[in-house]
Amino acid sequence: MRIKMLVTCAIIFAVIGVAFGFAGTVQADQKASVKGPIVMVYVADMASPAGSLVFSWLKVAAEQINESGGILGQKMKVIAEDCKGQPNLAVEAYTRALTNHNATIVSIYPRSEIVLACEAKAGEMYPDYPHILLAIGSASDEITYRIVEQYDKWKFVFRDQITVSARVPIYRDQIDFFHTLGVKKFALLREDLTWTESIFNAFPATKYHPAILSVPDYAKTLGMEVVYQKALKYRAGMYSPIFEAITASGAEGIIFIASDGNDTDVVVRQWYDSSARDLHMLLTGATGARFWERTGGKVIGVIVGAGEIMPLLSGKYTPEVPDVMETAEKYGLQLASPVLYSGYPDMFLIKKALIKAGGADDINAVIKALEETEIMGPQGLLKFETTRIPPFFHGAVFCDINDPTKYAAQGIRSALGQVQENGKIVFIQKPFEGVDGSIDYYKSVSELRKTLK
Amino acid sequence: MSSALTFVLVFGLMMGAVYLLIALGFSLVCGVLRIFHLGYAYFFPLTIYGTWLFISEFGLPLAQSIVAMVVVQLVLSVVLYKFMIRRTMETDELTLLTGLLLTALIIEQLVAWRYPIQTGVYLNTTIMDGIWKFGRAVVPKQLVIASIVAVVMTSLFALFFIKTKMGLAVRALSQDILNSQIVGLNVEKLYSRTMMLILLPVVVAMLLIAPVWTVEPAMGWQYMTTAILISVLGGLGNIKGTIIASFLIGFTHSTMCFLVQEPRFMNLSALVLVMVILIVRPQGIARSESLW
Repeated sequence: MRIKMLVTCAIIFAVIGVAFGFAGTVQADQKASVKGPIVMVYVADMASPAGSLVFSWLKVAAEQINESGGILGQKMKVIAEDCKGQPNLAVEAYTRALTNHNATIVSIYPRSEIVLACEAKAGEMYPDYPHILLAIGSASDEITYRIVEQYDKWKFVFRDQITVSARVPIYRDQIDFFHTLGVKKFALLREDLTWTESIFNAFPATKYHPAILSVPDYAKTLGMEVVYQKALKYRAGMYSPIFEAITASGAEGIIFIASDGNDTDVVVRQWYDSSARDLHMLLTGATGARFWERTGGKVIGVIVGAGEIMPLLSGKYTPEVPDVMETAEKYGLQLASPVLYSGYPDMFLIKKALIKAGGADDINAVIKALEETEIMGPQGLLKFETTRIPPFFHGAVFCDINDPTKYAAQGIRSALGQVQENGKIVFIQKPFEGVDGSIDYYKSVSELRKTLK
Repeated sequence: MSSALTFVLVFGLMMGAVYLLIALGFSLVCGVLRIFHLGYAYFFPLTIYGTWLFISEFGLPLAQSIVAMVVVQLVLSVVLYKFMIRRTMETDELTLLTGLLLTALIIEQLVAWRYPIQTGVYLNTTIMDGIWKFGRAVVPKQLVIASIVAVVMTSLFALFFIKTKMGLAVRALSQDILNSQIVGLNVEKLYSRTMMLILLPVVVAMLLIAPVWTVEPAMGWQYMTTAILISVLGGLGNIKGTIIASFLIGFTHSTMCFLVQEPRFMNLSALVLVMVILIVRPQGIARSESLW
């Protein structure tokens, strides 16, 4: 009887064991074949217009990637963590991204000081939570220094933005353009933020490149003179006196270096109603979405930089990144310049790199793939610098690292356009082959203003 | 130098006139209701974005949209008065101030949510395009018109308070509520109407300067700061003082812009001016116990 009971129990245990074991195998097999999504956590100030906008574009990119089959069958998922623009909250959010969301990629937008705070935390957590840190839109040189000095510890840090130092060719291009127009004297305005200081100061020589002239000194080499220069308070609101002073200085043109978020619409409106209204006006960046509407058309005649131009060149020249104008219309998204250099094209670069790495399981393979992958995005060639030179390493390739006054690859970032009739932007430079652009298309502001109803 | 002085003079007059429109309502509400209307900041964005709402969402023409926006503002003013100000002004001033402040913040946040900067809000309320030259000074025609309107409107306000029965009643109310009630003035009605009256200068100012100056959801705080400075400098609630203070601030700003050539000192210089005058004359430029 006892033996019979034991045998019965053994059979029952065996049956249960086999059943559970089988089920376990099935579950394991299912887990192997159906992986969860690849998670990207996006840390930003979600209350800011750009912060939420970039997130919307990231989500749309993930949706488009998933619709086209995902990444080797795996879906992408983007989760937002609001840091309210504060470094301490960003570090907390970063920690949650790894511990709670099991993120493969953590992206941070855009302030460099927030990225630097998270970068330190990320270094501590990386051995236990291998992942990728992608700084979106952050321009500070300092982000790169750690990666160069301790590659093994910080090799997972990338940033999609060009550094402050890499902007020299852009400004030289603009001065060259004024020179071609015959401008001898011009005014140089910049927003009073750290990143624009280099425009006024010469870059000292490093072991990688010789000293680089400041913008005013470079102008002198072309026989031009900066007759008025000023650092303007960010979102100053009042520019009329500046324009009157510029007119009095005898300037023939104005270059205003500003970033997204500045009140350049007010700048344009007050320029339009000043004695400087017939001078050549060049706004670098900062124009953004619906600038024509925001200025009531007063932007007519203004020379604009890549921020306005990127969408126009998207699609046709970016086979691996969907047309941003079509995407904006389809998904009802705002088309502002931050999204064009921030996040949206990054997602397609990441997709390509993840496929190359065979998925997201081996972060070392992903890092290697990110270092080797490139795509043509709406901002031009998008790839990460792999030569270990500060401040360019693991940042978006832009200028020649041996001579930062030259472009590494001519691209859309360097393009200049002019706002003409009905807000149409006409290329007044040829950004690359296949695009119709010429200085012959440039028209004087006074001539264009007559077309304004 | 003479060119700079011309600019200081012309822009000082223009800025002063526009500031007058911006501050007149705040000064009145301080003078009549004797409250520090921290909700004043919402008038500015609501004028621009309210008009834009009727244009973009309902397809109304500009003029009708402005009328609709004014109606909305009037209704909101009455509602605020009846349900917040009247209930708390005598008993709980702190709650009142908090409530008004929250109202402004809520409206700002709603505007920022529905119409973030990149939406591209622009009201084409330009009356005259282009520039005029006064000596060597170049000024936008729109601002000159805004200045003229400001002077005319302030004069009408002054005449209203000096010459009309209702103006007299409001002045009496601003001096002594209890005695005003004793002589039979309908205090509720006067308060309610004053709340509506203070809207007019702000609405007109915003519509006139929108094509030239800053338009964004948070603009109310910047303009309210100017209004507070002027009202405090002029003597809270005194229209004469408000007029003088507006032009003083206007000239201070234009001096910083055109003589010192540093617009970033505009706010700083105005603050220093207010502080210095308040040290010398704590009650402000004019007596703050009366409206005129």
